[in-house]
Amino acid sequence: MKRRTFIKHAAHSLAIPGFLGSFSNTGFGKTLDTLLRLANDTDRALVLIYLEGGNDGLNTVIPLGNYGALTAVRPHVVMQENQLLEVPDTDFAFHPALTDLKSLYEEGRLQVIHSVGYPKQNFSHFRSTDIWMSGSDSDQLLTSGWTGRYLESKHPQYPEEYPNESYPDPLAVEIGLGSSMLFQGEKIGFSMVLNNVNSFYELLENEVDEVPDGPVGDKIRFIRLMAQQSQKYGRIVKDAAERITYQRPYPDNRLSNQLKIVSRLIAGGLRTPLYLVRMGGFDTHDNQVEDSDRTLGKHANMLQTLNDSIMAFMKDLEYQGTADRVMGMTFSEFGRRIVSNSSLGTDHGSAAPMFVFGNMSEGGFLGNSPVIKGNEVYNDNLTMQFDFRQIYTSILSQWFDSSAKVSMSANPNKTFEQVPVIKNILNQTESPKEKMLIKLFPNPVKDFANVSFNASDEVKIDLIDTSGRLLETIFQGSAEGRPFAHNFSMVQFPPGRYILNVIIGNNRQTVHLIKL
Amino acid sequence: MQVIKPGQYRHLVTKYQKVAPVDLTKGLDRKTKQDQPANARLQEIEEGLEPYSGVFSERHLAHLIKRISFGVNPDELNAFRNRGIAAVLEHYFSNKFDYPEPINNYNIDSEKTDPEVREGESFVLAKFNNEFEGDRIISIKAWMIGRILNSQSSIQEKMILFWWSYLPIKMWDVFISKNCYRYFKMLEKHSLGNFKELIKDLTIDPAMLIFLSGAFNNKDTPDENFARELQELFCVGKGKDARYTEDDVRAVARVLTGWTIDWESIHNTGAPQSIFNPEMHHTGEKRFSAFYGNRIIQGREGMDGAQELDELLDMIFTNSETAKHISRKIYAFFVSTEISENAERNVITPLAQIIRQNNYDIVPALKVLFSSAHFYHAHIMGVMIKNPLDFTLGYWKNFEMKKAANFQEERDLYSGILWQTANIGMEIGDPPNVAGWPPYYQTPMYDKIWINSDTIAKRIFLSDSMIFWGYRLTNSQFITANILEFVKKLSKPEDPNVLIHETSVTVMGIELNESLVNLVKNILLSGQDQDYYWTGAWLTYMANPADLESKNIVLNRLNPAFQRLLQLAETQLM
Repeated sequence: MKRRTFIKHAAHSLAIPGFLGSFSNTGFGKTLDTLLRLANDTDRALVLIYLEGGNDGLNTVIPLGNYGALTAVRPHVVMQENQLLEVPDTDFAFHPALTDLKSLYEEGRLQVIHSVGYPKQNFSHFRSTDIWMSGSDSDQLLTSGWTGRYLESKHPQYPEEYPNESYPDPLAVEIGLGSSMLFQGEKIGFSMVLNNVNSFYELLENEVDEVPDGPVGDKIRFIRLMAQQSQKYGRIVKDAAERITYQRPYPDNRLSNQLKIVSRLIAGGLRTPLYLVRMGGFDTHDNQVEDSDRTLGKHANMLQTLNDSIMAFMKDLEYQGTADRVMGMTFSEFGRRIVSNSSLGTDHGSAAPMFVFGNMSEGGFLGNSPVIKGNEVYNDNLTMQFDFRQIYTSILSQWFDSSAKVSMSANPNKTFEQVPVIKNILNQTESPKEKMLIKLFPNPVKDFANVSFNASDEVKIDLIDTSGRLLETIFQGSAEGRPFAHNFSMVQFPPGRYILNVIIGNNRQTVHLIKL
Repeated sequence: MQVIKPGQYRHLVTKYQKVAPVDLTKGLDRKTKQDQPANARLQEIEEGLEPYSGVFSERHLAHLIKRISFGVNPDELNAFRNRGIAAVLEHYFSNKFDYPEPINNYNIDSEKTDPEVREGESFVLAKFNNEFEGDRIISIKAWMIGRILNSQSSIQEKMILFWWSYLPIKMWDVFISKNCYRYFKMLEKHSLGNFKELIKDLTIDPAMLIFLSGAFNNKDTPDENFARELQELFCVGKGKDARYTEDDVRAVARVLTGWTIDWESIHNTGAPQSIFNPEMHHTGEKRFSAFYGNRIIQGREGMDGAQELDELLDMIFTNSETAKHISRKIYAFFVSTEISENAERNVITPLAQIIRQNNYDIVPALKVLFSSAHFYHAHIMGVMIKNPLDFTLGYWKNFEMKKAANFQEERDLYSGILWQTANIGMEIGDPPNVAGWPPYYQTPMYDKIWINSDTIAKRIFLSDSMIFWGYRLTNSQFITANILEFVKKLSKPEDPNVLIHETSVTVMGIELNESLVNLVKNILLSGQDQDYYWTGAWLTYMANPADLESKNIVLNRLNPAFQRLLQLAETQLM
């Protein structure tokens, strides 16, 4: 061993262990590298909110298609239909606690994605959490996170000589618990971990948590201070936080306290693209609701907290002027059973809805609200409509880079089709302010429609359904001068909602259309 | 015959010493604030050497074992549980340890092949060869680490480190590997023996004669280096009652004139020898100050001059400061680096009494100390910051990390540990100076000196990497901690509370507070509220340990939980 290498090796510190890592899959690697560089260039951030324990999707976004059937199979937890927050022009409703999420939905700033999961659902919290964090298939065993493996191939020297000019900030920040598998690579962890909210404020104040009284406690205080000072990103995070002296009010709960820090760091200029925060308690085997009033109880309280926290976060982002460059996403290791149990609760299930929110959200909903027939038995589960890796892929691709094709499974040949989640795809043209104005006429469509816009570039127009499936490529080729116009037929498609995915050069935009 | 002066080969050392010596005291405020002792609360301990009469719990047992050896593991706790202090001490004090001599395992690393010593053969009698001394010294150091790693439930290796910290040579300054080896063996021989006999052997030891240049002290050109340190650092100290004078230093130096090295023994095959050369001896009378009772040592002619040394040691060891001095050294190394006034009165003074009563046999005093109420006081248990060897080798013991399978690997693996521990401030065999490692004596910081923002980061990097991706010792050695086997040995690993508690007893100096326990438990439970999710995962794994999926589920929780546990400040304490 050369002396220099040795010393460098021994010199790294991960007192707060560190970030994202990587994949052997080169296609994926290349893409995400661009994503992260772009994230730095554009200061875009994605906040992952992990709902620990398995959130009951059927009591969060409630299908109204056959309410009698729902009542029949979930007699212990179902609410009265008239208590729900019905969403106009759809067949689902929000839980009554989710008033703010509903208004975000109505503003087009929150998207509901129905029935997200993965094939061969595992019902263990631990195993299913690992699957969501590692991006593995249900039968693959990976001990690293999908982001962790990626960063490892792109940053093989990390943490030596990090932070540096190109990457001055943590590659990821997570709050709560220790370092999650998400950001764990094969050889190194990549996230800066704030073990709890207090440790963030201790960092700001150069203080440490209470220590035992006496000489042993004095030593502990000293060591903690030294550990704090050794955190390689500590100074950077502290500087970012100190630039922000006022934030909009947040409620005082674990999730809000975390989101408050995230907003502060983003507003303070930290150019970290990925944040993970957590909220616990969703494992509602019993007393999920209060029997006297099903709109109350444990689950209602948690959804209230989620609702209030996200709204406070959104308002703060607006106040800080960062709302247009932050997207958020909720996920949970699974949903819960269709059939409720006699302890006023629900047991481990499968697919569940996800929320994707932010000013740049595509809005609306994807997929169909689950169909309940009324004859389901205890072991029945909701059918998955979207693989969670489709959503990851879509968000990363559309939020950080318009041309990305991200593969998530450890199997490099496996690809996941994208679904529209971002309204204005990342704009890489030299004059990003130049907006594409896409005209679609007529809409709703009976048989034929005409799409037109200004362009003088390569153009591709895809028709996709609300599940993200590609139905037809309507046009592909170069646009001869401007304006570009194209007629197409919808005769062959059944009535319903469709999406036009229009790609012009590096720009991507979507237009919703309705077939009568 | 060519003489070798201390530090003469310093220009060669940088070629071998992969980590430049780390100066932990750089930039520290060395001034003691008299009105504000560093750790004033130690003064609250009223207890002294009276036997500890409280409950001897698992944590007390772990405390004792950590202080008298290097780390502790569940096997040892299980073996000595409910045995009582006396039985534990009896075992640790009587458990002598044999380890084969260091051998030539450096040929592969070296650009040349040692002409004197074949690969796999002992070099401890080989003649001096400056082209190989550096490689041989590294092999001795790796061997010293190997000894610690392989010793089981014995105080011996900890005692040798104590003596080396207290009465050091710097191996790189001496540079003659066989002298260094002999010094080690000399300390080993006296490790649980008689302090006075140790000092006598040390005074005329061929390594010490070079290190403090006693070999070059003669009647014409006196060298007072050793004479000063013999009093100031080794025997009398600098306590307020240690009032020896500069004239005493000169007189001691004169007594010791004539003692030198048989240079032929260095440059030929065979054990290094020291000799008394009457021609170099100062034969006049040596007068000592009132501190030594105005004692006069009459000069002697010829070989009789050698006997002046015995008279000198009788004089020094009659002085009451000497027993106090070694008592303070024992206390600082084994109990608390900082000595309060109460400890001086209630521990040091009576401990010195015991040492004197036993004519400087130290075992009785050590046993009394390790059985005392003072030693088990809440302010003492956990108050010591682990030195780099306690810290690093403690992990090796806790988590059954890889040991060398053969002599070649011994060098590869253990020299890796050597440089890693050097990098956090403690290169075995080479304290920064003749006073030893500063954390054991430097006011006002004491053992806090071990920890700064750089060393704490490296310490935590060790635990992070051994858990997740392997701790790199060399380009080919990535060492992983066997967390799973560790956890299996706990009494009830399926209960997260028991798991965390028993782990803290083993690796930490103090019980974790409730919020930290919950923090770690949360990680173990992946944020779930119910302990039974861990219990289920663990029992599922144990029911079928070959099943990779259930093993992964368990490891994916244990790893981050242990990462967090070992990052805690409490883990730095013992």
